[in-house]
Amino acid sequence: MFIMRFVYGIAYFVVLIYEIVKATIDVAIRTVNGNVEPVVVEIETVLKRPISQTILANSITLTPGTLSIDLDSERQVLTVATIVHRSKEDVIPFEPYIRKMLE
Amino acid sequence: MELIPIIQSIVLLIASALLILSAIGILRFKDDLDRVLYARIHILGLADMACIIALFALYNPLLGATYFILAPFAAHAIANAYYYGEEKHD
Repeated sequence: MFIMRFVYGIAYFVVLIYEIVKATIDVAIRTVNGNVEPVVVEIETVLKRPISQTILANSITLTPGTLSIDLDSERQVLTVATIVHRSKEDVIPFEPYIRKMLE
Repeated sequence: MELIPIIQSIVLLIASALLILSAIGILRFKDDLDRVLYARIHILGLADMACIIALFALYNPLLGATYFILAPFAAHAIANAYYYGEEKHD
C-alpha cells in the first residue's frame, strides 16, 4: 500500500521529535555534571537505498549526542561518534520507520 | 490574558537557557579530554535546537525548517574533516 508510506513518514517524524527532545535534555544534564566521554563506533544498517541511508545519517546528526562521521554506502556501515558509549538501538531508534517509509 | 505570548515567552526562555548551557559546555571541557572536538560538536547541537525552537516561536517557520534540514551538514563536515585529517589522533 502506497498510503502506508505516508503514515510511516508521519510516525518517523514524531519519533524523531521525541528522540531530539529526550537527547537534548540528556546532553544538557551531561553538560552540567561533566559526565562526558566521546567514543567513535561503527554501526551496521539494514537500509540499502542511498536516499534512506542519507536520511538516517542526517537524523543521527540532528539528534544531540550522536554525530555521523562517515557513511559507506556499499558495505552499509555508518561511523558514528557518541557522547558516551551507547548501544545500537539507542543510536538509531528510527531505522525501522525509515525502512518502512522508503525501502 | 492571551495564551500565545505566554507560550512564546516560555519557549524563548528555554532557548536562552539552552544557549547558556552550550556556552558553559564549550568553555568547560579542556583539551586533555580524549576526542574533545566531538564533545564540543555534541554540545553545539544544543545551540542548534535552541535556534530552531526560537525561530518557530518568532513566527519564522520556513527559516526554522531550513535550519532543521541544513544544520547537520555543517557538523558532519567538521567531524569528517577531523576524522580524516592530517592531525594524529586515535
